[in-house]
Amino acid sequence: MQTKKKHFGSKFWPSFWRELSNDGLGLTALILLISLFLLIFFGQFFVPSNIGSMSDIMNSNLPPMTNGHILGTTDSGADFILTLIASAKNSLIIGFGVATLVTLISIVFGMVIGYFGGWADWISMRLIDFWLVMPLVMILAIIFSTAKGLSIWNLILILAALSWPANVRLVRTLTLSEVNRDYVQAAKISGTPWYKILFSGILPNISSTIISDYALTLAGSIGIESGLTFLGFGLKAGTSSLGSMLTVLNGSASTIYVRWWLWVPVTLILIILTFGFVVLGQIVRRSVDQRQSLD
Amino acid sequence: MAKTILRRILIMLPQLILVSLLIFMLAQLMPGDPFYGNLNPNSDPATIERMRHAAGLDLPWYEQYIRWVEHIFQGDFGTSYTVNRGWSVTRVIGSRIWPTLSMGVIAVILTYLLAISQALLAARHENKWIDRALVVWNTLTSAVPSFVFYFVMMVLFVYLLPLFPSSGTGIEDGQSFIVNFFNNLRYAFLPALTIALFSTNSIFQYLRSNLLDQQAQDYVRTARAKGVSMKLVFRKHILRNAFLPIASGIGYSITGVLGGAIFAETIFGYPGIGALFVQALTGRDYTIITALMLLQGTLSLLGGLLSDIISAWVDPRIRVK
Repeated sequence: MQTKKKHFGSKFWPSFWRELSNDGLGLTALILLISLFLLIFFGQFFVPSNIGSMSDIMNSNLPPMTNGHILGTTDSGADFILTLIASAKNSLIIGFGVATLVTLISIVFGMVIGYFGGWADWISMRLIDFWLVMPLVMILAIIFSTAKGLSIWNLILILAALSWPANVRLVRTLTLSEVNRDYVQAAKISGTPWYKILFSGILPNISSTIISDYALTLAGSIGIESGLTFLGFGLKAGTSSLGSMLTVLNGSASTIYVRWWLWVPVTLILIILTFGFVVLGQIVRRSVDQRQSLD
Repeated sequence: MAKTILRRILIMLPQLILVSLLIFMLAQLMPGDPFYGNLNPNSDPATIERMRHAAGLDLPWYEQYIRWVEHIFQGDFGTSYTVNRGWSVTRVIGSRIWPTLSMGVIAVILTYLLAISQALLAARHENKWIDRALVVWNTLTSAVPSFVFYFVMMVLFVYLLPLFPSSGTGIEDGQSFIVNFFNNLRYAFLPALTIALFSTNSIFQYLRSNLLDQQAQDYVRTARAKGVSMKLVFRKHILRNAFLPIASGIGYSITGVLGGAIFAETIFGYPGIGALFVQALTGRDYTIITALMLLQGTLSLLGGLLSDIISAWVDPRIRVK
């Protein structure tokens, strides 16, 4: 007789598809995200490498559908769609970079202080609570403005270094709700080392919330970056992001109405990226933890 | 109760010191020094050195920090260098604070009204289409950076449907308070409504899940079994229990006002504190930036204090024995 081989995670995809088929919004979000990914992936081969430093004055600020530019051109004369592709790619790198770093920090730090408690936990929590009421956007704006334009990687590092406390707090709370469960107690009594209890015992049980938090952090960092770059404190000139494409609207209210094509496509891409990932994160959370399934 | 408040205020003191150190560090990070804008290539190096010495810039950082704190306690925040050249910082901030305050108060009130009514609607119709729609809407507004929605509101209510003026605060110097107040309302309402419309998420989600939790409690079943109508149970029991934790959030929402104001004021052309921050940062007016950070940091701590006092007041279990 043959027994079917079972391994961890084998039930993820079936439950993922089931969640997706129950959720029209999630399906739409996934399709839009995949199309955006394909557009970025194939579109980047058409993006000229000097797109950030172009200065084609003759062709700048063209309205849509002129000279073969479907959405017109930017104020530096680059094709709007190609700039959009380059920007969306940069925003995606920033989102994934920050979310990955922050999630790694929060998993290690949050689980350790939640599991061991004691004075290290007490001090960390006081500092985290303090940091969480501080005006992060203002602090970031000051740091970004002193740097006079950052490269993508420096921006990711600074953003991650300053925005992890909220995630650490969440992971710590999740860990605290698990440490007194019977399975952890049993593992402790039978002499399992603490890192095994943490990473193969507790982590899988709290992973569903961490996944949706990853998506929220991703969306949040894309939002903070585009917001600050829009205000003029962010990426260096020449590196375009979804925020830098909106900078032309800063301080001129009538442009928002008269030249709406400058912000509508950018806004749509921003919505697909941020909202899409948050919705997707919720679906993945429900597939990992079937107790939260929608029916 | 007095003991709880006293203890909470004592915790705030080290936090205040931490805030001032943090801001001092940020100020040290900024390139150049306060004379940056007053110098030209012909300035005599000896004069610059004398000015730096008079301002204490050649002292070690901890002595500079102590001097800075001393000046603050005397109400001296320095003078503005670029935004309103020569004005004292307190005067610059004083001229900008009222518009932000009025907008902030309206925004907080509207946020609570919108969030509470959405949550009540959603909880009463759990899993119906209206509940789903409200949950999706709130997920959308929390995920997408809200400043892009400000463009939409701008186009809708200033250009397509010209209900509101496009920029300014409506406050004039010579006018009486009453006239200024009502003029300002017209200008402040749209940015405030816009902020409120897109920041309901946290209150909405919290209140909705609270209401759903309370509906499943035993006391609801008991009351229903006794024959009390659902409407009455909802109003007398569920609402009161679910509202308690929301009340304490008010302190924190004050904190968020300035952060949200930065984008709203910039886009709507409403010259308050948030727009001043952007202006000062672009113009490298460090004395103003430092003062604004100090204001916001202190307000944040006070907001946290207020929140804790409110929650101890509405829920006696939190009080220190």
